[in-house]
Amino acid sequence: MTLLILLAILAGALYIFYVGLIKKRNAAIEAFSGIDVQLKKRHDLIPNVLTIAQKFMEHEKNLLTEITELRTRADAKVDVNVPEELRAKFTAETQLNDKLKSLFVAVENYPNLKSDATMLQAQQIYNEVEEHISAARRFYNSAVTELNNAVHIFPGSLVAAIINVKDMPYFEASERERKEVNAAEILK
Amino acid sequence: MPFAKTVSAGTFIEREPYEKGFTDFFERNIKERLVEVEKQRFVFLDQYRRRKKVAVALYSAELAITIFLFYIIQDESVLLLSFFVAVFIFGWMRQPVSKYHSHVKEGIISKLIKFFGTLAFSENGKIDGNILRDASVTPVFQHYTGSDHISGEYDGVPMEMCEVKLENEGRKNNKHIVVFIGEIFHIRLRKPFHGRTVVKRDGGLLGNLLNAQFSGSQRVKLEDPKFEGIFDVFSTDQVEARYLLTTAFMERLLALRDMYSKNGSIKCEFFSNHLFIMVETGTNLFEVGDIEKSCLDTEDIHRFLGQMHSVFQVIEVLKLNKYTGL
Repeated sequence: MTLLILLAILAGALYIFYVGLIKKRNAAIEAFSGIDVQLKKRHDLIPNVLTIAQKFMEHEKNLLTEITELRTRADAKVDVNVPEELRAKFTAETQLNDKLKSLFVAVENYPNLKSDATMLQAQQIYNEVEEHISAARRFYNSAVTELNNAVHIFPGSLVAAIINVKDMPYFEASERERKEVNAAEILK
Repeated sequence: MPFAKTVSAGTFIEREPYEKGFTDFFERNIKERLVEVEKQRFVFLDQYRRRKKVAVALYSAELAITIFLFYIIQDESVLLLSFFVAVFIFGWMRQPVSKYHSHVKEGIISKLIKFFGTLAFSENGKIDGNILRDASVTPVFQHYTGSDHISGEYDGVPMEMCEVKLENEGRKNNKHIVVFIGEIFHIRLRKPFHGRTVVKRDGGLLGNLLNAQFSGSQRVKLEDPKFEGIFDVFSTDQVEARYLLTTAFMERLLALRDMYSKNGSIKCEFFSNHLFIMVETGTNLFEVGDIEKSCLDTEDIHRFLGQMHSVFQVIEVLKLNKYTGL
């Protein structure tokens, strides 16, 4: 009888861990889909930016080609259950963002392009999109932290191994983004 | 004669970056008004002191009459009548003070707010009660009084603020119970929000659980430990909540709390195209001008500019004046 009660308690505890893990994994997947929506906005903006840029930036053809290639790589479908695929997507997105930033810096050297109304609007939308991506990334990373803690800490790690729930990679900001400091904010 | 006194206002010395340019503004628009109001203060103070002496005499007489009548008639209605007479005398005595306060508000605050933008001041105006009812952070109320309404545009963003007192009727009697007293800021946004995001005082584990259960929203865990220790965030849209609650916004909200009500509570809510900020101060914010104190002291002006600046910082940090359609 005692053994049965102990087994029932153990089964109950394992079930609770199982439910917790599944909930956390689903929350992380939901958070990833939130990022995907925001990244799609970034991708949709790129053709418009490139069309305007091509008219003026003849010396930056390499950069424009790189952006197009990276966009294609970042746009590829991924399986959320495969951490390597997610990691590859995030790396491509980070590189794409770095190149886009380089493009907007290069725009400064082309006065006609810099003052072009469409380009100005595109830059404003790009900044807004980046803020949305940053928000989605914060939500995703928060959900991933909860999942990874549950997957790595015993006895959650045991349950995770049985039901094959894996940890998920963080979507980290690039070195360039981390280094960027808004001087105006500091000097306020 | 009160007018015989010589009155002159000093110079405003800029102390904070947001006060830049105010010295000129002060010289052009405020200084002269301050002197006028100060002169008026002497008149009102003189009236008030005279009335105070008369009121003391009236109170003494009233007390004697009340004791006498109560002894003769032995009826409680005598006490009630006496109470109303006492209230009337008090109101009459304080009338010059109220008039002086109105004078300060209409004469100075209405001019001061012009420094920030196309803003107007109305002592008896208030925010539309229906908007207050739409917000979920507002406690349930049956009676609403508002005053010191500031409205207009800051940096192209329509905004209004006013002092608010919300009351409910007691269950057993009709006695009014105050459920909120403080300042409410209402900012009309150009960016419509899809979800409803609420920032309120940390309610503890049980409070958070009940809150999330009944409001249909989820708790949003943020990275800033200081902010997390003071506030709890609930939202129907986790991503949107993080879009709004950036590190800069969290800092501004904490600054706003420190500026208005260090010990009181501050709540805010984003929904559709509204941003609501409720600061429970427990006192009237614009009760400037103690009649016994000179209004030429610029310290009150520094405080007022700081408080207004904190509100406008929230608008700036949220880029509420920019609309990109996202």
